Amino acid sequence: MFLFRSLPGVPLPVLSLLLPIAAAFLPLGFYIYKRIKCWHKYEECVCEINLRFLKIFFLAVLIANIFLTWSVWTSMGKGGTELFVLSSGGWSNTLSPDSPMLIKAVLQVDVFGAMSAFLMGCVALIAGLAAMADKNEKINISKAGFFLTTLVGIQGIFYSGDLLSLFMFILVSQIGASGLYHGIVTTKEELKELIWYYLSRSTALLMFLVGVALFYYNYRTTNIAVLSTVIKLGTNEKLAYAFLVVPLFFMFVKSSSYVTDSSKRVFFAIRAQAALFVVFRIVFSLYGPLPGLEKIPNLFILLGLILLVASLVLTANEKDPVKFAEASELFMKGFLVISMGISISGTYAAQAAAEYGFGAIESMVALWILFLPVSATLSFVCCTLKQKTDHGELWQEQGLFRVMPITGVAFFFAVCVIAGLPPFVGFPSKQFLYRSSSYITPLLTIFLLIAALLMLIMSIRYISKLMFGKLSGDPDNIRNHDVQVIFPLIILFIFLVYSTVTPALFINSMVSPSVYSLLNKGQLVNAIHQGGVSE
Amino acid sequence: MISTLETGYFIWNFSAWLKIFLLSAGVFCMIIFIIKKRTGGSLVSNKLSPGCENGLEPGFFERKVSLFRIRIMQPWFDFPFSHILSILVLFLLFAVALFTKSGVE
Repeated sequence: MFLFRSLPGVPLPVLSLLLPIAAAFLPLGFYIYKRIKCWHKYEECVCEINLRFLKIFFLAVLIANIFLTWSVWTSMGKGGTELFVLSSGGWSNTLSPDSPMLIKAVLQVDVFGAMSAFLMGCVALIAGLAAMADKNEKINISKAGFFLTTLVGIQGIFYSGDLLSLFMFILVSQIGASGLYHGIVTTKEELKELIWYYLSRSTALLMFLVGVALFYYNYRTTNIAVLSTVIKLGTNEKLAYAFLVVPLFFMFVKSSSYVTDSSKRVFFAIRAQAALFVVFRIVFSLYGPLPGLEKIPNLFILLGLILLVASLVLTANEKDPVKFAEASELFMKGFLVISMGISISGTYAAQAAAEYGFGAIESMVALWILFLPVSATLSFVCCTLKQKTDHGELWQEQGLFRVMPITGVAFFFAVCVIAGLPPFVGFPSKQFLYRSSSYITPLLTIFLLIAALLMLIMSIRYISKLMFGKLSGDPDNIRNHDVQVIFPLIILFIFLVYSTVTPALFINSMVSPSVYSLLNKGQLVNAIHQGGVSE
Repeated sequence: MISTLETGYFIWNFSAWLKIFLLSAGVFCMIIFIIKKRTGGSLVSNKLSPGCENGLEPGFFERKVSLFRIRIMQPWFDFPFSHILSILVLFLLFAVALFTKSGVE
């Protein structure tokens, strides 16, 4: 009854969450109903549905999601933060620190979250289009359901302002990702096979829950805005820091196992991006530069360096395109983690912030935004190259550029963005990082430059092996593989080219407002004490 | 025409980039010309048969790094409990960074 009473005042971000929730429940609910029915009658379950209807429904939900997330983003003021609180009295924009127990749900939408949700919505649509065009692994009811479940979880992560609701949405996105990875587990043998996967994911989720519980035990609230104003770093808070950050950091680095379905890989990349978003929220919005956390920046820089070295080792002489894509993504993750370490270190003092902190955060956010479109491009290209041909797989051919020019150009473009070759859009984001890293130590800058150069050389060598030379297979057969991903690739290509030729627009409209909203903790305090909405 | 767009710290100077590109294009064309002249019109050496398996031979460092990956790194990745192990190691690293005092003023 309470939910029905609160329906008329439902704010737009809540609506944009409810839509994919309802849409995910429909196909999954139908699938589960069918299975129960078959199980009851001891029949073999055949869950068939009109494929055209399913595709139209899936497409309609993804497009509606884009419109809703776009509306949320455009309705946000520059750098503003809006709170949507569901309390006993229904929805409001005011969060009372005196009565957190009465609050049933809190959404905290800022420019960073709103922009991320819109970007994720666009990439999800592109992945959905690729899934619908895939002739080898056709879309079915459970696949569509799991795609939408993952989408719900991740959208919720971007809009959550509460640690407990973050946990709930991480759990939902994990259910979706597990379903995408191996489908619904029906036999004991399948469960046995996946036991270590489930164990690691359950451990990660449990750790996060322990972190949330520690905060609730100490402060009787799990709201990030409230906590950031009252937090004092003690043993429990330090433990909570490790419990909250470690599982999400792990999910970011190891976002997926070896998967050759491009649309699934894209959803795993979206999930990796969302995991890092939660780390940003905890590190910057909840804790901030508290005394006692001075060693954390160095740890992040160290972890980033390990990731960079590992990615270079994994890329060297790699032939499998999907493994190559994984290694390239690891390279981007390494740069991101290093930029995060420098950013945290730059927030401890006003002078450091002015000298390099702000630039490092801009670099971090720009790299974070680019991570998704670039890894989506890599996924489409590399999974296309994994497709079967008469002689084996497509990547074992040479001279592919003549029959797959768009794939070739997109691959080259993605690699240049990853390596930060000027004037591609990866360069503006990396040049902030090079500048900031020299304040930590010039050796770090030199290492980053050398790593980027090595990555570029190895990637260009890999592309040239595939794209140039004499074609041995049937050109028409190969061209057909390319056609399936042309539309998603063109959209991603337009985004990358557009942001390359207009870096000013990219930085001003997407990066700077996100940095402002991520750092400006005072706004959250205003939101609590001055009646919710702040400009 | 505005040739310089300024966005915070980033300056986008089209004419400077154009010069760099023209120079790079010149160098690139010259390298291609030299390679083609040496190999008789083909960028990739003729002795290479189709397929990456028999493609360009890896260099010395690539072979060493590849060996390191296969012999040292891969066995760890193949362990079924490598994910749990990674989480534990990460937790330990964070615990050490959060709870040790040495080096912090």
